[in-house]
Amino acid sequence: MLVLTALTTPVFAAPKAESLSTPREASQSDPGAPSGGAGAKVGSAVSVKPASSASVPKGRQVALKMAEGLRFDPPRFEAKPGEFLSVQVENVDPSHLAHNLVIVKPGQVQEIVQLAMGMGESGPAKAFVPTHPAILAASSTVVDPEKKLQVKFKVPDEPGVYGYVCTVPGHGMVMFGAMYVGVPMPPLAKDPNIPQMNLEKGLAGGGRRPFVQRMFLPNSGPAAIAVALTGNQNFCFDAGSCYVRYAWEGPFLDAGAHWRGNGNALAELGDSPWWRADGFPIRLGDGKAGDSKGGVGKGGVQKVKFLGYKLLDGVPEFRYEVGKQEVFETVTSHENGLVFHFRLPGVDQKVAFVGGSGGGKWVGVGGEFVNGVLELPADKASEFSVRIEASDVNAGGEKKSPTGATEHPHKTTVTP
Amino acid sequence: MNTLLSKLTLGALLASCGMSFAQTAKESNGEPESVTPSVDKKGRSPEERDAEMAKSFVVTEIKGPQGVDPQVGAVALLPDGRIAVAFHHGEIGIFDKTKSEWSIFAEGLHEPLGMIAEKDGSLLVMQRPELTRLRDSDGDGKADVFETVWDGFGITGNYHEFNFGPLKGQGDTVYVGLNLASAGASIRPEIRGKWLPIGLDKKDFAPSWTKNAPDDWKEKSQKAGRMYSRVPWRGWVMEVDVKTGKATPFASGFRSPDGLGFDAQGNLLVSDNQGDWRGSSELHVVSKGGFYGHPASLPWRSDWDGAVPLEVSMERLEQLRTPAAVWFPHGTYANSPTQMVVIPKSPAWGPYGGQVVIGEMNVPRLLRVTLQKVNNVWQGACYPFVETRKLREGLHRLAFAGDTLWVGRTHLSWAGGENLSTVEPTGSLPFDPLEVQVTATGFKVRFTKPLDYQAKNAALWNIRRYTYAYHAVYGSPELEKDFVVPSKVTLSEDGLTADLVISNLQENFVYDFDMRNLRSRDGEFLLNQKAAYTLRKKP
Repeated sequence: MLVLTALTTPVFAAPKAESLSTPREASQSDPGAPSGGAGAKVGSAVSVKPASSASVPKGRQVALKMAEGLRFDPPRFEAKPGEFLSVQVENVDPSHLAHNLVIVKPGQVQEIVQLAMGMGESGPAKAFVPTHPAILAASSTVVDPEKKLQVKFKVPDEPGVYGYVCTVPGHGMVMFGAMYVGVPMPPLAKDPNIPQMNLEKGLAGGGRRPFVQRMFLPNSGPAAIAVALTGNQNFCFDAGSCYVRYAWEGPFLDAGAHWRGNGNALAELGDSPWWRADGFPIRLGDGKAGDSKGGVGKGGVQKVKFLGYKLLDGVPEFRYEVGKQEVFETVTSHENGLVFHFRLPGVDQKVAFVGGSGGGKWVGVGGEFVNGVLELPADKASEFSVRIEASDVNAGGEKKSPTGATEHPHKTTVTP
Repeated sequence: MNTLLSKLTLGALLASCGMSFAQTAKESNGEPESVTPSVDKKGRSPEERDAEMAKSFVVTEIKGPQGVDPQVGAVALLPDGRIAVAFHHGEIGIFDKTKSEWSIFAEGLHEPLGMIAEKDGSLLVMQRPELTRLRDSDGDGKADVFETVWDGFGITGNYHEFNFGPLKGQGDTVYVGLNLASAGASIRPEIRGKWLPIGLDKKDFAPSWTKNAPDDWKEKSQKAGRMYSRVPWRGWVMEVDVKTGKATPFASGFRSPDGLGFDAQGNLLVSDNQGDWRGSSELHVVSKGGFYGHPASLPWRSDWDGAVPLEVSMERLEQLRTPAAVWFPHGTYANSPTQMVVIPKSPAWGPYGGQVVIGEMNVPRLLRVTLQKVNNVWQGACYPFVETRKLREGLHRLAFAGDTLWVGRTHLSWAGGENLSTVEPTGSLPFDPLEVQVTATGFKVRFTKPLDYQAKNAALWNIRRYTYAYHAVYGSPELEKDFVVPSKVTLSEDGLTADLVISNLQENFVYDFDMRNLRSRDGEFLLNQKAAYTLRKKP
């Protein structure tokens, strides 16, 4: 999509001596140049006469970042009536978009956005800053990616919630913030003057359980399915390799960074996993049951193919093929872990479930794990369940030994 | 010589009819400009343009469901007349216009960017990992069965591997467009699909869960290519049988094929975005086996010899590729064209019926496209169509429900917007350019209303021509710019068509018509005043 080209032409004339009330002086500094007005290099964008700039109070420094997902960071700040501010804006948006900064009188942000939109093809030459009395100050140029710029101005004496906004077309509807001048700030989560997305934590499903969210997750193939179960268990099913990769307790997923951007960020798990699978667990027929790393043709796992899922009261029943055998798998929670229910309609060979060593304790339902493996004859394999239990209530898959080294809590259940 | 004379004459003529001479003088010095002068007629403010548009088109805002991030990835008309909308966080909402009510049909999908309804009411949705059929098997109004129809394509975890479509073809066939990965990021440690072992070495991608790209990626990514295809079918349009789940590679050479559609004659159209190997944004008329210019996808051809895409000679690329049928001039027409749909042949849409309308991300403008086949080569024109600030930016997904055009917006961290609008014609036909076609002697321009006889004055036609580079760097300035003056203009008896005689037509140039000086017989200005014809082949 669009990448704005750099604008180097000066937009506003050098500020006049009386411009203190509505100053629009700014300087674009090199990336990495020391922040702060005194150290910042004055670029060619605006010529500031030494005499007049010396008479401008340096102003209190405020740092404002132009961040990924059309956001100002912070989305709001406080200022004192009548004080001088030097807002240093820095474009850290990895989407390589240029932004501007326009500071606006209370309640007039969207009006200015509309005006900027109406500038049409003349917009770029004016850095998308329209002319309007509600504008207190603005960046003299757009701020290119990885650049900084200063906007100095005097905060009005009149208290109110002033706005700041990027009026680059398409940005202003969401990329704005609030400058509180002499009025109290409401709690962040209830602030009506900042974009809604700053209020969202990005919790997938908004905390509802059960909930299924397909998402890019760490330590999984890209076709991952995150599931929040009733209670506080969550797991990641990898639809590429057709097995549950890991489970974690507590909050589900923070997908905020993934959603605010363009999908570059992975979602963050609510906690680190307490259990991780070694690999695809099901072996059919005479494949070497203990060989958890087995691949096709190595006497281990046969080729898998994901077929989809069905929601039963919101809980997914995954459907896939192992070789030619269709498998249905539902995972539910119990007080201290997960239960895996398998259905293998019409299975006519023996089945082994390889538990693996990734933390937790395996319990067979209707059969016993021997050296980490549950073997079932064909007549008992068409439907079976296994259970993985967290060994430690708050376990992160590994628990700290007194010496600080890590150990697997249930290594004893696995073939040495 | 001829051209110089034309320029001087044109300048004098423009000066005499009150145009800005300074503007033309600036253009004729041949320097590239970052901003193209506004083509709007003198003094028409955005408010005035909005008001003029409002006479012919009603734009109504429709907010997404409460609590749902209102970025729209897909819009589809259901068999029962309701509208299904896929949203950024993975919800599918269904809007009942008669009650102005939303219901949630499904949740938790991964970046759905395309959707069609099947006859039985199930939905086919293209999400990041797969093409999925969503069914409501128990009739409670919510999808409970999510069938994987096709997941036989690669994913590296790179954010730019968006998937577009499905577009419904004949029988059980749908078409899907698969984006290239962007060198704006690297890949993840676990990928799906066979890794292509040519080009930048996989270890130099330094796949990581914690970093989007290694520290030295800026340098390394040069070798990756600005956009890259290292897992199967990235940069391809695929043909998928939704009954069997079998996919066939259909055409290659795409960069970011956000829009897939058919024209009224059933030709497959694909839009693509300005970028590397895309001097300006493009519309392609796509045939099976075709290669449409971006080389990253070439190694997935069955006949490929293993050459690294960035090392393939220009001669070979030129020989392989089919150039775009239509360029959307960047900055003046469209910067990010999106989905296209056919305007219904109905009294409400009048003469526009059967033409193609397409969305655009960066300005509040819908465009029209017309196509023409000359000596077996597709070419055509684009036109601003509905342009009002009420539309806002980010016009991503389009669908007709009867005469109502639904438009859904998105931004995905780029420029754009949110929520939806409907666009409905008022029945008041504007004075508008309808279609530009090349002729043996120049161009023929059709209008919705009879032209004033003044239009015979060739000096009133302000035509520029320019071309764009085909190269690996991002975009292209307008190149070899020149003015074109018709040697003669004749009007049809009904005044609806102007025939422009232009000698020395240049193939592979855009002919950009600025018609702000034209009036209808009733003295109206044109609602939209320009058209850009991409001339590939002279008749």
